[in-house]
Amino acid sequence: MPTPVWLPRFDTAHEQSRILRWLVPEGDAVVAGDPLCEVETDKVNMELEAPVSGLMGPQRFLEGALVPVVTAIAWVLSKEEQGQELPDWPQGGDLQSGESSEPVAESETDEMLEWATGEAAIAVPRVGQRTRATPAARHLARIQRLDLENLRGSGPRGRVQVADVQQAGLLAGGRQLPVILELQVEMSAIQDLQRMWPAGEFALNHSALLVFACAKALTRHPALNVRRQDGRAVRHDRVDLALIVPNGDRQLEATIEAADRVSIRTLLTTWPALLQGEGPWLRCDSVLWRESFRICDLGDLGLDRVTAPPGEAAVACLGAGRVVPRNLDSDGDLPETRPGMALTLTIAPGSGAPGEIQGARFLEDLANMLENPLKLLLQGGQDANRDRQ
Amino acid sequence: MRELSYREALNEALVQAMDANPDVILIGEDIGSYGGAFGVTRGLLDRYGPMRVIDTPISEAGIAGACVGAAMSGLRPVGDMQFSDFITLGMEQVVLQGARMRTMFAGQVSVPLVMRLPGGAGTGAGAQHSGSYENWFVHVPGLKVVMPASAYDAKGLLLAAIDDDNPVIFCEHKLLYNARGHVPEDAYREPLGVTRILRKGRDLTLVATSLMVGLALEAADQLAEEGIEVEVIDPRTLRPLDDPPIIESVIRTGRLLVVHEAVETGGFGGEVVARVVASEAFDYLDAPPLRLAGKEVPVPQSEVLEAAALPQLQDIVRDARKLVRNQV
Repeated sequence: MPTPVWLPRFDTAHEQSRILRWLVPEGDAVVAGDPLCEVETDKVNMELEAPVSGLMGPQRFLEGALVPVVTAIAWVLSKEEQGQELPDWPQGGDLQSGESSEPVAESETDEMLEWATGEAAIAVPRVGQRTRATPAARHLARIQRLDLENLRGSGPRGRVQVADVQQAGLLAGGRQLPVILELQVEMSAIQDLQRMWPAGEFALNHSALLVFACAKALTRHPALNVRRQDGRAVRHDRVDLALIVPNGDRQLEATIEAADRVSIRTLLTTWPALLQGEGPWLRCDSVLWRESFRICDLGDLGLDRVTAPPGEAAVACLGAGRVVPRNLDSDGDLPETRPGMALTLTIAPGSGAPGEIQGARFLEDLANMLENPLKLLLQGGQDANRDRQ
Repeated sequence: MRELSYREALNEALVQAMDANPDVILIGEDIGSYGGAFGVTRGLLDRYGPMRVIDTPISEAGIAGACVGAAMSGLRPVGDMQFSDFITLGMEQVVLQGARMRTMFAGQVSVPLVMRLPGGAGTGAGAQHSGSYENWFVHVPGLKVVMPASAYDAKGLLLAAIDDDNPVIFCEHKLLYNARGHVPEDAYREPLGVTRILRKGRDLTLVATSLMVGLALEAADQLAEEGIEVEVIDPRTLRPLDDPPIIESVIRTGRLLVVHEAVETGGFGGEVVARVVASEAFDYLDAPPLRLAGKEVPVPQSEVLEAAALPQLQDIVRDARKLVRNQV
């Protein structure tokens, strides 16, 4: 049976200790009485000793962790027990008397008593109470648009510290500056298709294809299709696309509502009207505009690449440049010049925004669709029955 | 580089001031042939004679009053209270007269006096000879309060204090008189009202005065070995307080500890903390600002108790550590 190493209660007022340092790495041999771990109780640092000889087993807490008293913090194993499945961590009630370490000196006790009486347990009552946080933590949370109420504080009595906000900011993608990702899309397949496209009812407009592909990509990458609310990301249940496209001297700024439910045929046939601001699904709604994923397609203005900010309550914006011959990567061969288009994804700062990896996968998926337009069109055809028209 | 003790640096400042200006006179008990209770005025009676180095009876109110009157009459007196504690007898003269005259007479008179207060504990001199009274004067508009912590500052600040046209309370520390340091020979001035950052650090702002400055620097050395980088700041002039360097420092570090020997309640530390908390540094505080000060007792005579009543090196290290580790 593996032997647990306990963090004992050093005196009646002792409630918790911080694990300062593990003195023996897991797997090392220990002799009974060897110091295994240094723990801190305010002014007093103490060493916890090996209860028996054996091998240092799994350590339950990382250095720096605050641990309530009468908690098993590690195992000491015999040789045979190494690699075997371990029992659950024993509860405080399992601690038998006599396992407690040496009593501490009286003066230390007094100091600890003084300290401990001023400190409650780490659990923070949050009900009807403002979260404890340092001014600096509040300040940083404001900048990063993080909600303090959702953070767990590592300071005394659960107080949220700057370090906690920084940690949460990292986890939430709460960066302070926008991230801009760029990918070159090869457009030769679309151009080939455009050359073969019969004159008639409608043209194969690559901007319309981009809108269609983007709506599709967003259904597969929902992390980009969110609105921000109270510092959190809330997923949209459909894909609305805020569109900025030039039309002669004017530019269209409107939102395609539920773009994921518009078929490619409808989109292509109505594209010229859409550029004029007409279309049953086109909305000039400021809330939609602020909250929707945005496409800023300024290739027609002759711009090489376009970097534009997302809507105020959205997290990402796609910029599209013009289609021109570009040096595109040809899988290790010499670079070839082919028609290409620069797609730029701007990810907003602050919490709730997707990470770089999510952004890159979205771009890659989008480029894939645009480089295989036939597949896209065929799939789009299948979607026709879902067309609201 | 030439080194002098704090005592010698003060003596040299007095000599240079008295050589340069015949209006500078000294008034105090035992400052003549005895050379001052702590030897600061040694040799000055021989050099300048009894008309400029005036030995008085035990009459602190008289010393203070004579200084105020002499200053109003155009001299630049430097009073010596022998022990800072005895300024209690001269309070009316310094506070009600010296500090008020310029404004009460609409600038028609000025009171260019310096009152030297050898203060502080650590000598086993008991409750009536060990006090730190600087904050009594910090509270008085019309006074300036200077508190040098090194031989260099002792000389430069005393020369600047003698130049100043307002009454300056000059707080020395008895345990610093033998502290040695670089002191240039020329009559340099260290301007009043300029805070000095003695050591840069990112983790904690440690503001200390007088004797505590040296301990703060030692503590910073110790803490650096643990990876804790402490910024040590000496305001040097407590009134007027040059607080922007302190506020800017706390914006960088997020943590503040103020250390002084005088008791905490109503002490200078409270003023520093209040200014920081009420400044733009508020948004950058990541821990409550702490004060470390003398215990709330008259300074005990017993050396053991005296040491227990005063902030010690290990107390500074402990409090700094607690602040940086988020244990406060």
